[in-house]
Amino acid sequence: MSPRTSMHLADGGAIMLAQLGTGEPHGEVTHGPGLHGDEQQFHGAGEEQPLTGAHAAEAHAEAADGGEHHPPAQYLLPHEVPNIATLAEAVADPAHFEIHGSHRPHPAAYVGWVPINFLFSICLAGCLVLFFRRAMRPRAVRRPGRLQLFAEMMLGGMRGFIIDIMGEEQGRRHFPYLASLWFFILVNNLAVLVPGLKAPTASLKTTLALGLTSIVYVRIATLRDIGPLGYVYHLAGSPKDVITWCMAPLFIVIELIGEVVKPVSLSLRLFGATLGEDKVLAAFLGIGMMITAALLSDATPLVGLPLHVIFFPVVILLSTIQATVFAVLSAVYIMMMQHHEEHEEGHGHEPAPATEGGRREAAAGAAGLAH
Amino acid sequence: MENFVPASLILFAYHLSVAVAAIGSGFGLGRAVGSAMEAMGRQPEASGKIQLAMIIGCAFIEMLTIYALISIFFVGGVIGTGMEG
Repeated sequence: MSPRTSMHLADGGAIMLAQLGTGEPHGEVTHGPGLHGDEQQFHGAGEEQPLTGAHAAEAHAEAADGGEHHPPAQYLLPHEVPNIATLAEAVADPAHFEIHGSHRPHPAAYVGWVPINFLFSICLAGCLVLFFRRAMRPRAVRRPGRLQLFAEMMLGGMRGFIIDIMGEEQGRRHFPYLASLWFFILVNNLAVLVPGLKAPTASLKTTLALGLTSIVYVRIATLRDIGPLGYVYHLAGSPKDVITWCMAPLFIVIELIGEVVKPVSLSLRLFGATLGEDKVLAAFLGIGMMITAALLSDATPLVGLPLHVIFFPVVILLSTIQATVFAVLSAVYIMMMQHHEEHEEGHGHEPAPATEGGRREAAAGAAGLAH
Repeated sequence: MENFVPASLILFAYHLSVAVAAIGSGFGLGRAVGSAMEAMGRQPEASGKIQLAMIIGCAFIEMLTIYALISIFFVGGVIGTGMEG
């Protein structure tokens, strides 16, 4: 093991691993192709990597001569899970990628002039549309195929869930938007599990767009239900007597701040959760690379242990929860604006009946947690 | 002006702040989910409504940790690069 390599690893925080690797012979190990395919971008992908340890030694000698740029110390700790965009960037400009690519504080938003998050979400949405078109094409009533059954099961479950929250009438009206939102966010969150794809929701731009869309939809629904005057009346805290009328300006200010905060909090929550998941995956991918680097005593091994796979179930679970939370909060924001007319009559009885009023009270109680 | 705090200490503080936020929201989530489970056990027919309120409440509690995480990502740059400073 060259002193240079051990120094790099120590810088990367893997002193123990470097010591572990010192006993290893430096010649015989042959590198196979990357376990994940996409891990090859660590090497800049454009340059030809030597396949055997002997060649690697030659490459090191070249690097010492200054013929080749040697990767920096934290080369093995990627800041995002490698995907097609990082690969394209690495192929297009390896030297720049080595300097900025693996040290970039945030996942890349652009490759050249192409907004990659937008590209990925459009592709994923297209896949979603194609899937549902394909699944529902037979429209079989008597003997539906597997695909159609699967799609109908998901849509039916989603419909039942939304109707449970919002009641029959409202649920039916808002089901198309909320279900689309749920599927879109879920697919976007889960994209990080597919090698070569990245999760567009790990970018604040995507989630802010989603949050703004959602809040505009909610406001249009509100204006259709209670009208502009009703909306202003609600913003003023639904005043009934003199004291509450005096408090109205204060309420308007508070509610207006709330209106601004809603889309921001919606989008920040989704963004933070997804970015956190991606960072955990990237960190464990990096640890896998460091372990192989120490074992093979090679600063840039072709193969990394796929340690991040143990987080896949967690990512699936959290992605589903985040998609659900986004859709449910949108539904609750719609419900919040409607309970005020019927609120007074349902005020007295303690056990809320399982009717429209009861549901609205439940939604209102839940929404009360928001403020 | 040189920075007065060692870089390793700053790095430690970044991670500690998320840990503190996680402890807080862990307690909050524990209370919320525990009470919801109790309520569901006592009144299984109302479990749908309780579950809805629980999910929303959990979202708001969990948001605090996520905010801490985001501020780490934005303010502190990235886990790992703090070593250079």
